[in-house]
Amino acid sequence: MNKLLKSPWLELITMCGVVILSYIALALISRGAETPPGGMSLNNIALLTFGFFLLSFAIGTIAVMAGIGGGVLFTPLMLAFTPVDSLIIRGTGLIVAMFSGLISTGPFMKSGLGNLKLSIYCCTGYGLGAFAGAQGAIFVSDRLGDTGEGFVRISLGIIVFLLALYFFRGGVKIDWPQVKQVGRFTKWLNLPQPYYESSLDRVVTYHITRAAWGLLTMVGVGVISGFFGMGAGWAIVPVMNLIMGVPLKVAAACSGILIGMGDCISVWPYILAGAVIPLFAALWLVGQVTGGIIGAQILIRVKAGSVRLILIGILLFSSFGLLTKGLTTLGYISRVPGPVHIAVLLAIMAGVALSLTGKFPKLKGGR
Amino acid sequence: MEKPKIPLPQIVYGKIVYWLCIIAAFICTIGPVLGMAFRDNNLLNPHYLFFTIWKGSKPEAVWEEVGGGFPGGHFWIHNLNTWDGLTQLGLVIGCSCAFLALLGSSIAYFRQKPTAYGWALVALFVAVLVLLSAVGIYHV
Repeated sequence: MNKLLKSPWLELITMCGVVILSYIALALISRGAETPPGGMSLNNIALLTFGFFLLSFAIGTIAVMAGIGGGVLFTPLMLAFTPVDSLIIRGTGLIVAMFSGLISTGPFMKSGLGNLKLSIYCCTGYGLGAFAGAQGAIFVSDRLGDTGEGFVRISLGIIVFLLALYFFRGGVKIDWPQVKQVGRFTKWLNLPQPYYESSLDRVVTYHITRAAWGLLTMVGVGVISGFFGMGAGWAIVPVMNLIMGVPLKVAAACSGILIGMGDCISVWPYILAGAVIPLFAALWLVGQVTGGIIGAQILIRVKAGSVRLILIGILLFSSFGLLTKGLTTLGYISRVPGPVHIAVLLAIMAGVALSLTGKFPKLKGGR
Repeated sequence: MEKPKIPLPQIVYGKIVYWLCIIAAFICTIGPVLGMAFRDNNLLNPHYLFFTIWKGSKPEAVWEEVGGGFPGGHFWIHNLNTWDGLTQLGLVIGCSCAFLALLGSSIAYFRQKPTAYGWALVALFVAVLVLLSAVGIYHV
């Protein structure tokens, strides 16, 4: 009982209580409420917003369990399967990505796994890149209209498909990179920070290398994140791990911190352009916070390999939706009928189910 | 096993971000529900807002059709008595929490012994980036 009165359970329980009460109140209010001509009924709005909350909660939970930002799932899914404008989705996607990073920042900083100096250093590159990417998104949306919408969906479809392949191969990651040489600039920065690794029951001291290259790469990662509004945990972790030699767990923790910090820069062009609409975006934010806290707790208890398989399935299905919708927008193909979407979804689900039972195909690596 | 001491700037950053994030989430939970319960007290009437968003309208068209034009990203300052103004305040708190946290950690870097001037300035630089972005100094 005492445990439930401490952080993070106390705030989680309070927040869940407020959410439940709010939706009960909304359901009661919407009964018999009048709908003005040309508007959406309150009943439908209540159902839609509750659906948004549930989806955001699920995305937040899965994203944290898989060690990626929520935007990676939110933006492709919404762009592929809803008629909502891409700029609104990308602005909201950055809010989603940012909050899934922000909520994990506190615990990572407290445990010492997160490294503030490393995060701030990388944020100087990531933040500038993400800001430029966000400005580019608004520029493209203003000037290219439907053609821009089509190209955004197709290019994101290709990125998401490549991501699915990357996760399928298990990702090239090294738990404890061996750093042989540290340049003068990196040494001068003095980025490493020892931390207590509970799984080894010892204090881990690590080295960091190629800080300048890491910073340059972060600019590129930031541009993609800001332009597509999806966060970039999937790219930040490999950059820190493979280029800078940061241990995998530290890189994963710093990735969340960095997304939270950097997207505080890149989200503003969307807000100031009116692409973040409060009553729409807020619903997704709440789901991310509650889902993120729960996801972090579940992560300790589940087999991460299964999460990765589900994630691959979602990414493949989103990629299919993005590519077909993009090609339809550009007029290359006619609208894909619903039964085709369902058939593709069933085929992907069957593949995931067979992989989960170990029958097809055997995946390498794993988290 | 003696655990390494976590640097104070790091603790300061983590605590500020976490609690501002929780406050933002609370405001963003209550704001939309009250906005739907008291629909007339909003800049954007939810009946038309969700219909227009779901129609696929561009952001400027959404604001134009439902609210008579976009009042600017910081419309919450003059509209805190409306539910979407309050919700926007929640979003603004969340989207600028890194600014306050970086200021806090910068002060902590300045005050620690030996003083880490370099890191204090880098933290301040990133905080300024968030601030400039939030006030919209750069814009396409």
